[in-house]
Formats: sequence, structure tokens, C-alpha cells
Amino acid sequence: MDIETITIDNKEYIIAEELENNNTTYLYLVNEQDENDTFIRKLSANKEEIIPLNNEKEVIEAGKLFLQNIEE
Amino acid sequence: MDKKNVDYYKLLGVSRYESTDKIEEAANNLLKKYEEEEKEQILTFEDSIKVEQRKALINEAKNVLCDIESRNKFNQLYDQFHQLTVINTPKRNDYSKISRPDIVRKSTTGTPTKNTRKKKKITKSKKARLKASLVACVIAVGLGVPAVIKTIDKINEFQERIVINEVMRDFRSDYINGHDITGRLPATKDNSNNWYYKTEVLADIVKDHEELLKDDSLTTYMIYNTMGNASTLTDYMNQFTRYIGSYDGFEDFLTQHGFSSVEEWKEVERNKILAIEEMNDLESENNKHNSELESMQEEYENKFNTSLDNYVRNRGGK
Repeated sequence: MDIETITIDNKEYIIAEELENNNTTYLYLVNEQDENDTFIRKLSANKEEIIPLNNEKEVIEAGKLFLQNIEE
Repeated sequence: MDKKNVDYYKLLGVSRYESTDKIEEAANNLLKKYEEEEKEQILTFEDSIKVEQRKALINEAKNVLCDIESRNKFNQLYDQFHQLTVINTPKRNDYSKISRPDIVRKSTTGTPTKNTRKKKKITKSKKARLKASLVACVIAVGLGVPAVIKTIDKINEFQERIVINEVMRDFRSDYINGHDITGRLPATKDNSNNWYYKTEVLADIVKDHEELLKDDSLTTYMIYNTMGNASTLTDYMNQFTRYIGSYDGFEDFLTQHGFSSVEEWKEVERNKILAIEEMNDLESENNKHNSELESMQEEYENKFNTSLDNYVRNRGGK
């Protein structure tokens, strides 16, 4: 199957999941070479950049979104 | 495995981490099934011998796996065997390296990157493993364990079996058996007794707090923060109450569940734990009492037999 990757800090991350909530697109990233290297990012408003989340609360919200999406 | 290379877990259809009760239940169900087959069908001599051998093996598996000492010995062989033979299956992920602070830090820091993507081919099982890492990630940030288990089940529905066997099942059974899913305290043989004890406590809490556990965030928060370093029940309880008080959404939780104060919640929790502790003490006292009764009974039987022997010998002498 085809999957998309992006490079952050010279490391290639697989976009394991991409979900949208309230006009924000979250990317769930996993480093194929080290599966413990996993985190969440989001797209900027113009969708041209991949940016960090605002705070811990947003990380938790994005995590919840991931679970809900799989459960549905 | 054992000398005959029999995988007792496979034979009974249970996981290596299954509880003794479940193992016994699985063995009894199998025995019942064979007995019913014997009753319902007219078996040839060869078939009936095979069935008897099978039943003997199931009984053997049950005896070995339901005894802590013999199960530990069997597990050593089992683990050794699987490490030697599991070559082409995916490597089990070490979730212990995934931590809440790390996930939060990596997700909230760093410079913006251009949204330039590349396409790549990946196997289905690889994708499943990546999802498993994400599941570990969301656990680490404090989301709900029940929800995560549902998620794992959901993933299992459409992913390859091998992944379930080598990654998901271990992950799930670690939770079910009370092992530290966030990797804060890896289960080892040295402290396995502690883990079993904690499992019982946790199981009772889970059972008694079904309503409470519907609050997924709180559930994981409790488990994540209390299972970590506690080595005794008192320690566990202290950590439990300390951490629960610092949970962000705790005030809402209290209102939602009808607690007027943190103290009231703590009191209820403490009483439940103490009740479990008391029940364990009573059970242990009861076992001690039964054991004393048994030895008394044995002593009486011996005395009676000796007296009877003497009586018979004396009568014979006369």
C-alpha cells in the first residue's frame, strides 16, 4: 500500500494518520526506523507548513481524535 | 516448552499471560468437549486412545499452568523457545521509550516544516505496527485505556493476524494482567508477585468503578500514574490519591460523579482498598486455618491407623 512521508529534522516520518477537526488538520507521525519516535503535528492555516501543536491540551485533544476516528 | 515440546498455552488456546482461573476454565471446557464427543460418537479403538491421550495432555497442561512454580519453570522454557524460533515475525516494540513528556515535547516544539510529501510503499503489517505505536503514544499522553483496548480490537479486525500475535496481543495482555503498559516498571520475574497483587487490586477497582471508568482520561491517568512505582498496597493507595488530586479535569469529575470534595473521593477509594486488603487477610487466615485442620486430620488418621494396627496385631497375638 502507498503511504505519505515527510521529513522533519532530517528524519523521515510516515504519516500514519491524517485527521481533520474544527478546520485543523492533524498529522500522526511515526519514524519507520524507530517506532518509539512518534508524535503529532498539524497543518498551518494555509496548509503549506507542518507546525507544532500549541500546548499539551491540544496534544491530548488530537490523541482523542485519533482514538475516535479508529473506533468509528 | 516441556520435554515433549508441547506448547501448553497453544494446546489450551490461551495466552502466555492468561490468569490461572481462565486457564483452568479453558482446560475444563476442552475436557468437557472431548467427553461429550466420546458420548455422542461411537469411536474406534484407535480414536478412543487418541482422545484419552489428548485428555491426559490437557490435564497435564492444566496441572503445570495452574501451579505457580511449575508455570514459572514452563514459562522460562517457553520464552527461550520463542526467542529462538520467532525470526520472521515483526520485532516487538518497546513501548517503554514512549513517555508522556516526550510526546508532548516533540508535538509542541520545533520549527515549522514545509508541507512537502513523498510517496512510499509499505506493507499492511508495517502499517499496523505503526498504528500500534500511535496507540502507545495516545496512552502515553493520558487517554483512556478502555478506549485504547477498543481501538486495538478495531485494528485487529482489519490487520494481519501476525501483528495481533506479536504486537497487539502482548500490548493488550500487558494491560489486562496489570503489567505496566507505559513501560514505567517492566514486569520481571523478581517482582512478579507484586504485579499479581497489583493486578488483583486493579481488577477489583475496575470492577467496582465501572461508572467511574467511563471517564477515559481519568482511567488512564489513574493507571498511568499509580501503577508506576508502588510496591505495597499502602504505597499504591498513597500514590493513587496523590496523583488523582492533581488530575486537570478532576474538579469536573467530582461534580459529575456526585463527590462533594476530594477528601470524600479519597475516603471512598481508601475504604475500597482497605476492604480488599481485609478480604485478602481473611482469605490468608482462612487458608492457614484450613491447612492446620488438614494437618490435624492427618495426625488423627495416623494415630487411628497406628492404634488399629496395634489392636489387630494384639488380637492376632492372642
